[in-house]
Amino acid sequence: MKNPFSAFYYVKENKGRSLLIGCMFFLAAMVFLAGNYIHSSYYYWDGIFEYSETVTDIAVLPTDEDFRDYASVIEDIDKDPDLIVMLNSGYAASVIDWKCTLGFTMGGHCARYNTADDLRTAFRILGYRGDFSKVHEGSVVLSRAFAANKGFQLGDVLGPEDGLHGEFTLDALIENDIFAVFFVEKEEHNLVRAHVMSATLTGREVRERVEQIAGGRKIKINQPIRSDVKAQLEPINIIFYVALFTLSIVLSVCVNSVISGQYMKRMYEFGIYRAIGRTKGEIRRKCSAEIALTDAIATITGVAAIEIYTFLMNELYYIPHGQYLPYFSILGLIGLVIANALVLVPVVLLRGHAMCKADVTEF
Amino acid sequence: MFEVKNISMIYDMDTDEKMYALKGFDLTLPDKGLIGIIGPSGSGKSTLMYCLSTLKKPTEGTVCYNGTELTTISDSEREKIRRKEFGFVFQKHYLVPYMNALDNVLVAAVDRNEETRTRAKEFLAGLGLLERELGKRPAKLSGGQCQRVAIARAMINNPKVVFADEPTASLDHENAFNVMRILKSYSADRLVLVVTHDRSILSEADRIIEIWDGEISRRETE
Repeated sequence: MKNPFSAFYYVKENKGRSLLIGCMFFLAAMVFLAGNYIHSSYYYWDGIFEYSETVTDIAVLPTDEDFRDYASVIEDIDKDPDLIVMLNSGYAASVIDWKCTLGFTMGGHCARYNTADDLRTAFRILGYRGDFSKVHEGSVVLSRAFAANKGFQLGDVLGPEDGLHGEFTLDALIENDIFAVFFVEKEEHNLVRAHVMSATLTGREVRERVEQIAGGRKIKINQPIRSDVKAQLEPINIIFYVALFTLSIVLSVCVNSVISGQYMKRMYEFGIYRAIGRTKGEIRRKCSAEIALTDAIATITGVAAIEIYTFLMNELYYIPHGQYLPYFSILGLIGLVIANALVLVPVVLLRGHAMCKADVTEF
Repeated sequence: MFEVKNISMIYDMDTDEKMYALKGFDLTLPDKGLIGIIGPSGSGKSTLMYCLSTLKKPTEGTVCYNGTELTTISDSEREKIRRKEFGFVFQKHYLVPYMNALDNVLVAAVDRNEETRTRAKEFLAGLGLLERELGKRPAKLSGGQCQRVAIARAMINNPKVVFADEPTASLDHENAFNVMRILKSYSADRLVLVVTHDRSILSEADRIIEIWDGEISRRETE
């Protein structure tokens, strides 16, 4: 049997009023979208993080005269049946920037392989999908998404104007989403760095094995870049939180004043409830439930609209341009919860308290 | 049923211009019958009703209802008494504008079940509302119909006491007569207190109490 005192009844019979409040809560849901946009910056780096955690990059230290320690470590690593050493392969200084979903450019990772076979072996271990049969010395390989982001196509020659130190031909596309540049350039001399990986060990195990083999010898073992890059991207998160709090406070003030006006018009209604014996607790719960229900409907509607927007934008624009907007992010979820709490809690507390004081004798 | 001793209500206590709405008098009310409380505007009749019905707490004095001291019990106990034993009819019907006539009655019901719903419909039918009018909101009902819905709301829990504060002030003569007829019939085995400044509607009252300037007039009639 329907309950005329319930929040559902109120929202159902007062759709216009509820819609107005709902629109304001809807704005709070937009914070979820903002969080997803911020998080999209990380989309481009996930593949790079995984690469740096799977492949151990080692290099000569300047203090290692004649490269004696480096050479002896390489020799010892090569003896380990679980480890694969790729000489003259490693991180390179070339950088091709990409345009991220937020609109600004970022650039990151470039890896050089001494031979095409080394590249194919590495890609097999890493699980990269694609046709790499045409890769040879002088080839550059990008992910399909990265190429779309830059407007490159197979067969294009990329050079210094694109961020590379020389001219390389785009001969293969990786189907996995990784925004890194891989090129093949043979180097006979200057044995100064190498990639170490394994078909049987995890990236962490490879790193630990290499550190164990190196012992106290002078050699540089590069660490995964996840924490460093995240630290650099952290300011964007901080900007998000500052914007979130500012927006939430503004919304809270607006929502409170609109809801205050609506509830002031209902003072006599709540005066009657008090007169007929409804307890203060029941009245507080009624006010809280009405506002929370409106918020819940608006939030669910808002998130659904955001997911539809995200789908359309990804399909129609972002993915074809080598970009991506995630459907969900922890940052967006945290923002949504905080925005709703900052808006909802004062409203519930203030309105519930005010309505408990409604006195029919004053009308 | 009600024992009032030395009741006073003083407004603006902390100022030099204190206002005495009730000036310390005693009163006893029975457990059934139609009692009229009459007086000019500002005489304290509504204040007396509010004090009896626990909507206001008197500044001084005691109000006992069936042996319970209403001025000393907690808010929650007062709420319980209002919920189960008292009913209210106000000058303006104060129906909830977004609820239909039936739901306006049901919102006051203690028990929410089919039996209550049926009883509410019967109440409203007994008060002259047609079936098709039960689904109408107050804006679509006349003043008399709204006041009858308010009466049904006041009586849905079969309260022992009905407080009616100027229940006919907004009505025409015919509707006023109908409302008083309903209250009179309810007072056969319940107490109905009617506050009014219009003596003509108290022709059927079992007792009339006159209030003047916060005191009961010596012209109390039975």
